[in-house]
Amino acid sequence: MTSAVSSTDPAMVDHKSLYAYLSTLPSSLLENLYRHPNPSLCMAIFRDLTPMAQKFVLRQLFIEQILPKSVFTSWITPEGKKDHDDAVRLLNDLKIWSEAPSTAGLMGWKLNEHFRKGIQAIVVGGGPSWSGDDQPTAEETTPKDIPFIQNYARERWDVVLHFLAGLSGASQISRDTVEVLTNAGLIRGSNSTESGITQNGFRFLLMDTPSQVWRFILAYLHTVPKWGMDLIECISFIFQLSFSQIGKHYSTIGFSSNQLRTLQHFREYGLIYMRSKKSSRYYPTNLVVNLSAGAGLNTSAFSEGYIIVETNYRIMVYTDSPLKIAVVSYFSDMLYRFPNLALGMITRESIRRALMKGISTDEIIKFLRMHAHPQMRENNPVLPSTLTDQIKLWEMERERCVFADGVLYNNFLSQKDFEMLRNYASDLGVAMCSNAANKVVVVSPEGHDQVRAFWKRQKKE
Amino acid sequence: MPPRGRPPKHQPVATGGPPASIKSTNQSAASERVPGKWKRQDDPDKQLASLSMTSLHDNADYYEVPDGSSGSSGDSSEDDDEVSRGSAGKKERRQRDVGKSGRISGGNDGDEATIRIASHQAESMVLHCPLDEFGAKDYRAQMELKGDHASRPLWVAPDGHIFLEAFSPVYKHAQDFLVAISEPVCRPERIHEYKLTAYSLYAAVSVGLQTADIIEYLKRLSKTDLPKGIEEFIRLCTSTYGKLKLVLKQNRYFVETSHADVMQTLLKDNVVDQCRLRFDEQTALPNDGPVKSGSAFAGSSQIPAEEETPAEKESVPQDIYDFYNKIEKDDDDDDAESQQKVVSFEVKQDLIELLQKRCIELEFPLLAEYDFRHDQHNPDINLDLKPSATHRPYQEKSLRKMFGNGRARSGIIVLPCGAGKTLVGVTACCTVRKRCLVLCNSGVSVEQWRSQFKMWSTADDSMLCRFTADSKDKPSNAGICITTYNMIAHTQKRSWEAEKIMEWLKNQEWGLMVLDEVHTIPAKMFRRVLTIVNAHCKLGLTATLVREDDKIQDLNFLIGPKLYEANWMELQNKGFLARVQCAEVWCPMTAEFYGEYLSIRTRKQMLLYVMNPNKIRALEFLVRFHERRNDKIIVFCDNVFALKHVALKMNKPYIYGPTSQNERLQILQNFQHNPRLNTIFVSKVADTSFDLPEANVLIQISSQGGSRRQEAQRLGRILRPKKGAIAEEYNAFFYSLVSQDTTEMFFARRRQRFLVNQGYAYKVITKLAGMEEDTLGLSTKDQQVDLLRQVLAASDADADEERIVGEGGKGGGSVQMTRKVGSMGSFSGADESVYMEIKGKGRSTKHGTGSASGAAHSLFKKFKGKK
Repeated sequence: MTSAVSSTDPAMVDHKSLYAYLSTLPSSLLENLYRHPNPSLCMAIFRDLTPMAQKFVLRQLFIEQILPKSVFTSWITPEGKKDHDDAVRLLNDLKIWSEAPSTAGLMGWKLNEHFRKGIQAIVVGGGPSWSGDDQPTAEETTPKDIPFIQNYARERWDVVLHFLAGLSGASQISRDTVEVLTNAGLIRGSNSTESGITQNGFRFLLMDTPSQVWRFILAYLHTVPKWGMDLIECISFIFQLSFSQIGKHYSTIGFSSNQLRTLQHFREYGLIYMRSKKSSRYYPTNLVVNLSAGAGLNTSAFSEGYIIVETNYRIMVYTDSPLKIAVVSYFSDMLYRFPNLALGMITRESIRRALMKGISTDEIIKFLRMHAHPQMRENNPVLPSTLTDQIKLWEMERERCVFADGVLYNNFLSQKDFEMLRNYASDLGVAMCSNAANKVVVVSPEGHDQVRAFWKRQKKE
Repeated sequence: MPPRGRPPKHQPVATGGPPASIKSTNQSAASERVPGKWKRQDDPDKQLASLSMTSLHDNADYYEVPDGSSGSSGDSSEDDDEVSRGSAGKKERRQRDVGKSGRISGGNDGDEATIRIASHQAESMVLHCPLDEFGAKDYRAQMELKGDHASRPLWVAPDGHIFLEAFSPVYKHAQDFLVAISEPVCRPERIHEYKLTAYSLYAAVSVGLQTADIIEYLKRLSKTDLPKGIEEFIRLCTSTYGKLKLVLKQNRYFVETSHADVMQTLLKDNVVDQCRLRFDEQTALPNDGPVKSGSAFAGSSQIPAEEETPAEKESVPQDIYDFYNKIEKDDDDDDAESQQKVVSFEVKQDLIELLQKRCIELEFPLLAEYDFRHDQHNPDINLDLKPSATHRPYQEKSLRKMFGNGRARSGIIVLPCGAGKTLVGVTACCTVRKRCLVLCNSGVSVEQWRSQFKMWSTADDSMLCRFTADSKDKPSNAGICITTYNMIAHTQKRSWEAEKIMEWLKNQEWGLMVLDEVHTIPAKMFRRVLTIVNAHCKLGLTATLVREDDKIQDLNFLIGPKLYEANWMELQNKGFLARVQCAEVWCPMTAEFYGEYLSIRTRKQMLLYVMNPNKIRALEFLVRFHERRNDKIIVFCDNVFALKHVALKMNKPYIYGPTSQNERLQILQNFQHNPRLNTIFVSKVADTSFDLPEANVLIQISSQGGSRRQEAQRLGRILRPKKGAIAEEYNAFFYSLVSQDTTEMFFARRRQRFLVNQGYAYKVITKLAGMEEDTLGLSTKDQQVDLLRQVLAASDADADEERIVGEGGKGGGSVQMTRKVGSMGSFSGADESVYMEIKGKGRSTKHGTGSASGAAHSLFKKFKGKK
């Protein structure tokens, strides 16, 4: 995965984890990252390594000299070959170690000095706190409890989604956020002729919340340099947040102006809670805690199920949230709206509409399964298989045409000419189709040269 | 090979399987033309239009069979549960609904009350219903959520649709009530939809519910406030209902009411006045004082309603619980005191239907009730249920609706096929204990009714009188007469013996008339039955109260309101019905057949997709597979050419129209008892009333257009509960084989709607696992091309589905016609064929005097408004 790809479409490239994202960064940036005074970064990365890679790092941790590669291979049994290779590649990608000649002259692996220091600090203790809770904070007079913070997070995040879905009555969001969304390819920029949500935006809305946040943060990190802010500082702050605890509050004292700006952004998205803009305290929310683990988190914590689908293609949405109904309406026809329920129907047309928007049926089915009402969860499978089959079939219906290039031979003067050429082509196995009545033959591009040469030869004779 | 004792492992489309099984990988000209064909369907309305046009064009003279027993599948306009429809269509539909409800509640444009209701409904549905940003009807403003909405199960939309949470603790309380006051629209697993209509409310009143109670209970069950419009609508529809009763005494009809003012209003109407029979002895009839009596019907167990566990009670809001008990009790005792002063007048017999219609227009529908306990005029017959006859809860419930107030109400009971309709009919006869007339629609079912009577009741041969073309028992002192609709409605000359019996039938005052498979009755011919025979009380039995035309509403005043409708899924879950796996097997057309299919435009198209070699191969595979499991298989094929061809090739017996009664019984008996005969082929003659308890696999290879009813009736053939197969998830299988990319696919979808709304799920199978390994016929291209040659050589007539001749038509030279494969001899009169000229313009009216337009009684045409 190259950084070029991710910059064009950061929201959709599947950076499943921190590792995947970091490995796209240039080595100089990574170097800076490891040099950062806060070792939480190194810890976060270390935590995400494979067990084999962790072992390699730990064994090397306090050995100052470079170990030859053969030493590493000698540690493993033949069955562990694959794990070994993976670990070597992973460490190399992340620039945690690099190739260097060992003292004996053999090629060996050299651990990044800054990374080594960082991990050492964690192992032996000392150094600044990972999550920044060493800063003195004034006692909170009215501490906020976890449900309050979760609620706040959901509300703020919904505002962003509302804006994205382009619903009427959505409250405004800051220009910076719009920029992030545009950068992420979720909405079209204001300078383009048509504005509004893009294909990726539709798909984004169908994702579960952790994936959304993760993708959004990636897009945020891509945007940060454009604002003239320090990417490393930003990344390290995110990691710091992800190590913090929900329900606790942390101080902003000693934050740089860049960090304060990030703080305000995150406050807008609901990643943190601050009483006021100027408050010197912030609470991380459930959206950001454990964020560095990437999009692989279990999603059920974020949503109670509210969708029932029936074998007769009815869909019932137990909600009064226009956002949820909007998302459901991307792939169904809504029929009734009651105070706490919206009722719709999944039809061939509605699914085709969704497909046209760039939403895949897998995403639809995943969405339905993810938000299935508790009543639905009693069943196995959760969704009626008739429904999922049918949705798949509607998608496949669009894929029944197979396109292949070909070269058309027509205007034969006689049936004999036609037959001769057709027979030659089919003997070669390059005739794709032919019609005797109209005297046409279609030949595959590979066979074209040969057939043409044959035809020229024949005409001369 | 999949293991024994399991359904064949279907390659699920969604979860796995190479996409190549669906994707057409070959580059043939045929497959490239597919997208064009599908493209046409982008606009759903256009698609419907185009398809219904083709079906009319192709099959018009088939669909409009004179006897009206098969609905026109081309008629798509009357379906309000159409699955796929664009938003443009939605609006249009809504408007049509408005029009329809207006029509239901009266239809006569000049009628003030009708307009009131219609306009009122229109008001609440269109004007007061803004659409929200997603195109849904937005009722949020009109309905305020109650605080304890979670424990209440209903949403009542202002347009009359009601949604019920089936997982609610109050479900049980709500469902009985909703079945009584509204029409079920769909009942899948979790959220059921019902619809309030003027007729359904009429039915509610007729089983004894009061206006105030309906509104009150609906309010309590609802999660939100009850929309104002609905309350008004209920008042409007019910306040005048149930006031008038049509009573048959000593073979004379009287209109009775305990509300003198209602009578006053009624008699001011000239039409009513015209129907009134004036002569002096009218008052001479003795008026029996009403005696209060419970709803005991024969064999009723009279168990108190099942005790509820305390836990269950807790989750039910107290007000709902109280009211439920009240309503349940109400149901049983009658408004006895209000019957003290009864005013009445007599009606001219031949104008009964006109009067009934007029009364509905005046918003005073007539309830037909029969006070059989006090009928001294007609002798009791000695008929009782055997002690061995026990009723299932739903049978008991339906009977309680019928005999709710100690009298017998006329009406229709809807039970799924195989759920024991016959026992309900027999019990009703045993309860009334007057002379009973049972009408069925075929000779086979006459025999089946007869044996059921003998099984469940004390009736013996002398009491049972059969009257069919084949067997005419002496009616000397028979209490029960079983016959067919055709026998009664027959207009041609009869044999002397038949004439005698008819005379006897006409002169009897029947206590109860049981109409089996009543959905077939709206046709003109059957309607005649009701004017020929006089019965105090009519009980209609059916499984599928749907028709592709809208004649189903006629039943409301021909027979009476729907008294009870069972929930298919519930009966299945309780084990009263077999658990059926429905599957739609997609058979790709072979290139040769598809090429021909696309190039011809005649009815033969149909023959091509029925005879698709891949379909026949799939059939052969399925038959073999299930025969190995020792299943009993019925193969349905409407097309006679295909039926014969495939049955002969597979060496299995087949039954179709011309098969004689004896041969039919012989084949069926062999099928039931002979372990070596496990598969039979049948045409649509077996759709209804062929009781084959053993059969558990049904394969359908050709069918009649988009008839929802046929699909449901066919499913009914395998619905009888199966013994000892509880371990398996499914114990019966229903396969529908369709040729891919043909109109058959479209029809299959339409056919399934009724069952899908009952909660059945169709599994789409694109590939039958293990089919490659089996050595099946038609495997080589040569064989397939040979088959194609045979199909192309067949005449257009062969492409037609079978037309069924009524039993009474035999030898009688009736106007009905059949197309069948015949020899030259047929033309000269062999096979009982009659050649005659038919006048008429165009194809659609070619078949007949009784074609669709003519089938509607002039009366109903007017009643339904301009068409």
